[in-house]
Amino acid sequence: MYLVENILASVPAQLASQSKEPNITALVFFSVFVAITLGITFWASKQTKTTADFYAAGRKIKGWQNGIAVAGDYMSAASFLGIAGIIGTQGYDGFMYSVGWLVAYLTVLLIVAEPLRNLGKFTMADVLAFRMKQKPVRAAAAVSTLTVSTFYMIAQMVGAGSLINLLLKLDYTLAVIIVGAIMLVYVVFGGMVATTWVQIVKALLLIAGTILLTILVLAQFNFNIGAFFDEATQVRKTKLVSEAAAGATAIKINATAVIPENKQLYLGDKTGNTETVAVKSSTLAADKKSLDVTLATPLKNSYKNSELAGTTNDFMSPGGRYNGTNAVPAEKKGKGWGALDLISLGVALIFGTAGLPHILVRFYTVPDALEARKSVVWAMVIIGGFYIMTTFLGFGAATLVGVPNIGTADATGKFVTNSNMAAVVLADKVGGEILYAFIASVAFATILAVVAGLTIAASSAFAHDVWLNIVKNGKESEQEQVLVARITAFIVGALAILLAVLLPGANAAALVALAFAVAASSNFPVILLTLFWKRFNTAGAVGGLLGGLVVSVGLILLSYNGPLGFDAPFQLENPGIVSVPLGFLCAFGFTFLSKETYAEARYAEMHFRAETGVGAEQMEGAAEPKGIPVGATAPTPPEA
Amino acid sequence: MANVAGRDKLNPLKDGERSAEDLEKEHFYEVVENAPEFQQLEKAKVGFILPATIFFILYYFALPVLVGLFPKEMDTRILGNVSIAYLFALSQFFMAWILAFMYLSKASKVFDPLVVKIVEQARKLRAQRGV
Repeated sequence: MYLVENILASVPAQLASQSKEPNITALVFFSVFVAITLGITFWASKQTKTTADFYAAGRKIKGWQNGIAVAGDYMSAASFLGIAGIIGTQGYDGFMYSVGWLVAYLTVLLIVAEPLRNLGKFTMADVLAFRMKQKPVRAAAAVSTLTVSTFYMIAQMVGAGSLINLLLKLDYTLAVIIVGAIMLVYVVFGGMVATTWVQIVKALLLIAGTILLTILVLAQFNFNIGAFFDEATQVRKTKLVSEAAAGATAIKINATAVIPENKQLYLGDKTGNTETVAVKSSTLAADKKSLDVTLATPLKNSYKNSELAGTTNDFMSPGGRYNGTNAVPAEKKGKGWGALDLISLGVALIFGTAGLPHILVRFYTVPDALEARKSVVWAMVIIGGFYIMTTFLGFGAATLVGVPNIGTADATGKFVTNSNMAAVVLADKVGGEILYAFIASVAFATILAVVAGLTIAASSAFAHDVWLNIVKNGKESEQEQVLVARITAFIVGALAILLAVLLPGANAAALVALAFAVAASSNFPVILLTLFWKRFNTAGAVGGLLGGLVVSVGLILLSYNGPLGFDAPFQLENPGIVSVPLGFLCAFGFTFLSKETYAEARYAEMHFRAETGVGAEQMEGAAEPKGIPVGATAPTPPEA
Repeated sequence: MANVAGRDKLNPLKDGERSAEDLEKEHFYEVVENAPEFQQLEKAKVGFILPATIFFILYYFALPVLVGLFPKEMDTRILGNVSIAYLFALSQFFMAWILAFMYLSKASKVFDPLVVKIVEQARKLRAQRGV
């Protein structure tokens, strides 16, 4: 994996985040959060009796509450730590994640949320199984759900690993096991009720923390947003190519564009030397791979070759990540990939959300489609506001902390850069130890809550789709189903812990974007075609789900994120632009392999129900079902 | 539970064959979907959702396409040091919010009242037919 920048840089010793001692304040905050959420879990466990309670919180969650929970699911380690980190270390391009992830909710709102709520019971597969052959579509949907959730979970655990290392200086394996165990208690005992309320509490804390951080960052600039952006244009990352001695006025840096006169160049190294120098002139070397810079004033310190992280302007410019030279070394990648990389990421982001199992299952927790609609809009308002603030966190970290200082000291006191740490190190810088401890524990809570949500989605795909409807043919008592769901949740959670222990370091946002690519290529085309194409059938659904999955995962493995590293044949960071059309193609192609009269015949009924909510799953304890009495319209249960 | 209960069990007939009950049901839904109110709902929904979707997809992809292909031009600073690229990205948030609230208002003013009528009619038809 090459998603994290490994630049050695200076260590400002005064920051608590860079102390090698465990942070006690953070531990206290975190313990309080855990105590409160375990309280919620205890309360929720008393209410969790049926499968509808366990998977869908009894469908009693109100629209606005679910909106906050959806936002909470979305404001994961990827959004909070990852995006702030990309903006903080690579500038503007990180904001592209924020934009794509918000606009994605229009796809959910306009196309998916309401029909899904009207047609399904607990999982995405319920919608497909309405008019297709049960067993094959449920099995295929379970495979894709488990894959997407696993990718997503890896990203969260990477964030957790970074934080644990930062905060408690605990042994990584031990810390992941502790975090995983707490998460398992939420899910196994509290089910969806506990998971939802933990998500709501965490979302509110995260929003409060982000607003506070934004205010504190802007306060550093006397609330002059113009001045803030002026400062952001003063930073950009690069490296020295050759050694530079104190007193030198000429240096050679790894850059491919000329830096204009008077722009600032920030220099730093791991021994703690830092300085800012003005550029007098610069000329590109003959091979166009390095830049000879003449400085206006002589250097104060000496810097060694390649250990240096110099920064030039500017972070406002596009291209910090997707210019064909940054995410992948220039010599491995053509210049033209910048645009395609960005577009490909965009495809994965805006179509991926509508195929994310842990977001989709949230719409089953509300009483009806109207509340599902409201919850999407609530989520959009919260997520949008949060994402706009990511620029203040990211640029704030770049300017106030300094790009080379985004990272943490490990247990031996050695400084390691880590882009995921941007928001927490920033909190330390602008708010001191208390805010730092607060933000770090909120980030911790975020990971716990999101992993809990993912575990529920993955376990419902297994217990409801595979176990109940495939193995048991839909016949099992409620009590046994809840037991199986709990056992599955435990197994899925334990697997997540195991995966986390085996993990390499990577940027959480970039990793999650890969999960979105898989969801967009595999689940999204099939959901869309089930809802709107009468001719679509079982062969198409299974072919689309598995085809999209194989193509997207295959391309990820063939890219430089895979085992081949930079020698990989597939050059895009995110496969979306190739894998999503191929996913659609599989779904279309396989459809024409067979003709399924029944699937077409039931289209009219499915469509009517999707549009009107007739026969939709009711909230528990609802006295009189809305619309046509369920018994009158619903197909006869298999037992009858 | 009913709507997820297995269709395999529900439909023991071979593909292409349908029971009398299946045919009855199919006919029922064809009738209710041909009613003027349902057609009106379809027209209203497609009339809003299709253009809205095309618009937001075009508006969204304009950002990565322009930023990717013309990074220099998009980097033009127009508000102090704030670039066109940043402002365009920021505008996406407002575009998404405005579209979401337009949908919310359209749904509650036009779609939901039609749904109430449609469900009422379908209920009556069902009672008449005794399906």
